[in-house]
Order: sequence, then structure tokens, then C-alpha cells
Amino acid sequence: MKDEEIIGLYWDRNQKAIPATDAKYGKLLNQIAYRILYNSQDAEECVNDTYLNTWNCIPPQKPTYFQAFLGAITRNLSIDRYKEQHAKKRIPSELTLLLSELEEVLPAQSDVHREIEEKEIAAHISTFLRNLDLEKRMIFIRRYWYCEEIKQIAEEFGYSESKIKTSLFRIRAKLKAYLEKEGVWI
Amino acid sequence: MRKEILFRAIGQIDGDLIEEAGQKKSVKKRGWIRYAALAASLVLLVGIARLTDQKLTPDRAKGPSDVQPGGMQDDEIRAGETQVEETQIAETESQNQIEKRPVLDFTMLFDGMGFQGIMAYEMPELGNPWNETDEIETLPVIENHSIYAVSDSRNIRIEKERYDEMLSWTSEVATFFGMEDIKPEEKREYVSISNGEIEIRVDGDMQMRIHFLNEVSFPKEYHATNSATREETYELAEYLIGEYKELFQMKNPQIAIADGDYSFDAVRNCNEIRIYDKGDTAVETLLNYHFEYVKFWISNEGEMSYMDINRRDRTPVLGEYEIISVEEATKLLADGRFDTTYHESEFPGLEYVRDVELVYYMSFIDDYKPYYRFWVEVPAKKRENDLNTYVAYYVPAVETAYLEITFN
Repeated sequence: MKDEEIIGLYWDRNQKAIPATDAKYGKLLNQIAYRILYNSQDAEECVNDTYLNTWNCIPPQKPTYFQAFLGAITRNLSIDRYKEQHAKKRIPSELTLLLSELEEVLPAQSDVHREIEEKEIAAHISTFLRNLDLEKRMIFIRRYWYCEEIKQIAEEFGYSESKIKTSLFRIRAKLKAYLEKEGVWI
Repeated sequence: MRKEILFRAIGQIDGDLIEEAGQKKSVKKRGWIRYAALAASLVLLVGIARLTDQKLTPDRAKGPSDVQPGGMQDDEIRAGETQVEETQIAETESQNQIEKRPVLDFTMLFDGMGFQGIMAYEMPELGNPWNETDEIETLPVIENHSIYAVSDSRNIRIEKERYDEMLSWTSEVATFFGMEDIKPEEKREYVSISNGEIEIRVDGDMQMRIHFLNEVSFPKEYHATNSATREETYELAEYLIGEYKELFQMKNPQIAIADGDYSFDAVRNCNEIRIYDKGDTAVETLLNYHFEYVKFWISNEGEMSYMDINRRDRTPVLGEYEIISVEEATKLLADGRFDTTYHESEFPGLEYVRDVELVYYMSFIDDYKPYYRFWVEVPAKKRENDLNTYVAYYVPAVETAYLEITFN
């Protein structure tokens, strides 16, 4: 089923919208949640909550990119749950790794810094990514948006894991320099 | 948390970029893959005469066709190419050997936060029972089939036999804590049980965590806080063995104490207690220390919140491999043939090596392989409050003939 048709079901308040979303995107969303949480039950609950949120958001929203829309909800719900579970102890998860990698990107703090909204940071990152070549852009987004493991990205792109790691390392360094140049302080 | 804000911001990048990246990418078949495989087999020819005890699961043995291309260095690949025509006959023989003892990709997959280092005023005691005089000749490389190696939770399936084992272990420990009347919760990837005060959970890779929701305090005569000396921690460990030994199933429990490290603001953390079983040989002891041990999580205030009991599988064994000496490993370290999570400054030199230990790197996702872990003082990380940082540098401990590796 096409995305427009599924979104149409939400607009019609047709309960088939959720199974249709699950059939098309359930696996992807489950993978994203699982990589963050490393617990299948929690992952499934986050995916179910994603459907509920989507049901509550559409209408009035009409997302242009449905997959991105759903994935963003799943990511945020999973991060919230991850934080709850981390209140006391660290648990193993791909997110632990992802966050430690992203630490390198954080721009240096300066006296003239200004705090900006996530959306504004996202816009800067989008601009930065558009200036990368397609493959590098895909690798970065696979890692930090889809939360894919390095091994998985390496297999799909036909490179060694080391090459993917190196590539990500360089992109992170460039992104850091870019954000600093743009005066973005996080 | 700034990095979390960044992670969330990435979640809001433009939708078209996300969909573009989500498209399936076809794998690039590079011409040198077969040469890489062949080069690997040539390397192995050298070692044929030395093949000894092979404990191998045949279905995991990698033949030349599925040797991973990733780790081969460019000059090794070229070496493979030049010898291709001269070694056609030898190739068949070498393939047979590869099936018996695979070349291993030792490129490390690090997991965890930041870089791996210890902050302290002096290099702390680590607790590892390995000693350079142990004369370990071979060690097994062991497959990791923990659930964490599976990326899609829908694919998690624990075999019935293992699941029964998890259930029976849970009920045994639950009985110890007086919870025999409570029914365990049977989830797809774990078994758990709780009475509101204690939660017990066993995962498919036989790691148990006992969570004391009401933290456990110790009798007054024991000093458990972060100011405890090694001797005081040792006494506490003896007390813990006395209290919980029924849960350990160890013939000869040994105490390993790792000195507490320091936080950025110079607060000392508690010494760490690990209990493991002394084996009949140094190899057995080393394996017990890494795969079957009990660890206690004690806060700086001296209260215990968790006890972890590990009974990780040591099968299937992918191969028994000859181990290089510390001296050889040190040469490799000096040559830059190491792996580390620290990249902020250059390797400072052998004169800054403060300790070395033989370890299994217990990755969540990678197979379990032996490494020499060198702890190196990094002058660039010395803090104003005089705290040093000791960074972990890993050198594969198996003979280089069996390695396929790219250093990070």
C-alpha cells in the first residue's frame, strides 16, 4: 500500500490504518527501537506507542515523508524509555555506542554561543548532509538515524567495518567543524 | 545531556534525506576479494606444520570463499596477487587447512561509552589472575551467540533446552531468596521473577542480574564504602562468599579485587569485587575469570544494589590458537599494531606502559578473542589535580599468521 493511501486511512479514522502501517513499517520501526533499547518487549511497546501517537497526530498533520515521520516518533519514544532505564545503571544498547560517537561532534563552547532548538540544529545538519556525497550521506544517516550497527552497514555497502568506522569518524569531525562555523552551540 | 540533544536533532533531519538513505544499497563486489581470500590461505600455509589440537565446530569454519574482505591490508592484498599463479596447487591443500582453523578477523568492535581508560593517581591493581609466568600456549576463540548479537528482536529464538535451563536456574536462585512460591515471568528473550524487593533476570546467554530494590547493607564490622582498603574489601568479599556461595556453584572460589578508579573531580570509587573459580590450569582459571564469575555492584556509600552471576557459554569453540608472548606483543604495540578507543593523541611510547594483562575482550556483539591489554599512561590526559589517565591498548594475542585485521 502506498504511503498516501495509509495516511488517507488515518484521515478517514479507519482502524485499518494501524495494521497497514505495521505491515509496511513495523519491522523497520521495531529494529530502530530494539537497537536503542535491546529489549524486544520494550521495543514492541515503543512501536505500538508510535502507532498510537501517529493516530493522534494524523489528522491534522499530513506527513510528506511517512517513514521519516514514523521513525522520528519511534526514536524519541525509545530514547525516553532508554533514559528511564538508565537512571541507575548503564544497560547495553546500540544507543550507548551512538551517543558516545556523537560526543565527538559536539561543538566547543564559546562565549558568544547561543542555545538553539533541536529543529534548528536539525536544519543545519540537513544542510551539511546535502553537501556530502550520496554514499557518505547514506552511511551517516544509516548509523545515526536508523541506528544500524556498523557491521550491518559494512555488509550492505560492501566495505570493511573499519572503512565504515573511519568514514564515520571523518564525517563526525567535519560536522563538528561545520556546526562550530555556523555558531551552533548545543 | 548535549549528545542526546544532538541525537534527537538528527532525528529531525529532512524526511527526503531519511528516505533516500533507507533505500537498499547493492553490495559492491570488489575485484580483490578473492585475492584477499587467497592471500589469507597463503599465510596459513606457513602455519600448517604447527597445527596441533583442533577443537572446531565444522559449520562455523570459514572456507576461502567466505573469508571477510574487510581486514586485509593493501600490501597484503598485493602480495596475494603476485603469488596467485605460482600457488595453484598449494591452494587446494591450504583450503583444507583453512576449513580446520579459520583466519580470524581481529578488527575490534568496541562498545561502551567514550574511550576505555582508568583515571587514578597511580596505575591501579586490576584483579586479573593471569600472570606472565603462566606459560599459556594456546587459547580458544569462542563464538558469541548472545542475544545482543541479534539486531532484530523478532528473530530472537532461544532453544527450548536453553530456556529450560534458564527457568531452572531462576527458580533455584528464587528459592535461595525465599521466592519459591512466585511464578517466573517467561519472556521471549529472558526469564525474570520479582517479589517487589528483589528482581532476578536471566538472559539467553546465561547472564543473571539480581537487583536488590532495597539496597543491601553489610554488618558494621565490614568496611564497604569507597574509602575501604584492599584488605578491607577482601574481608568483605569473604563475607559475601559466605553469604551467597550456594548461588555460585564454584569448587574453589577466588577473590579478585580491582582498585577503585577516580572520577574527574577526584572522588574515588569503590574497589570492585569479582569472584571466580580457580581452575586446574592457568587457561581454565583465565576462562573462568572472564566467562563464569560473580560481580557485586556496591555504591560508594557501601550498599549493594546488584549482583551479576555470569555463566556464559564457552562453546562453540572456533579454534584453539597459539598465543604470542608478552615480549612479542610489546613489539607489535611499538610497531603501532594495536587497537584502541582512544584517538585524541598519539600512542605515547613504550616507556609509558604501566601494566599488561591477557584478557578476553567481552564484546556484546563480537566473538570472544584473547588480547593483550596494555595500560598506558597518557601524559596528554594528565589533569590539573594530578590524576593520570591510563588508556587501554589492545594487541591480538594469537599468532599473527591467523589474523585478518584492520587497526582502528
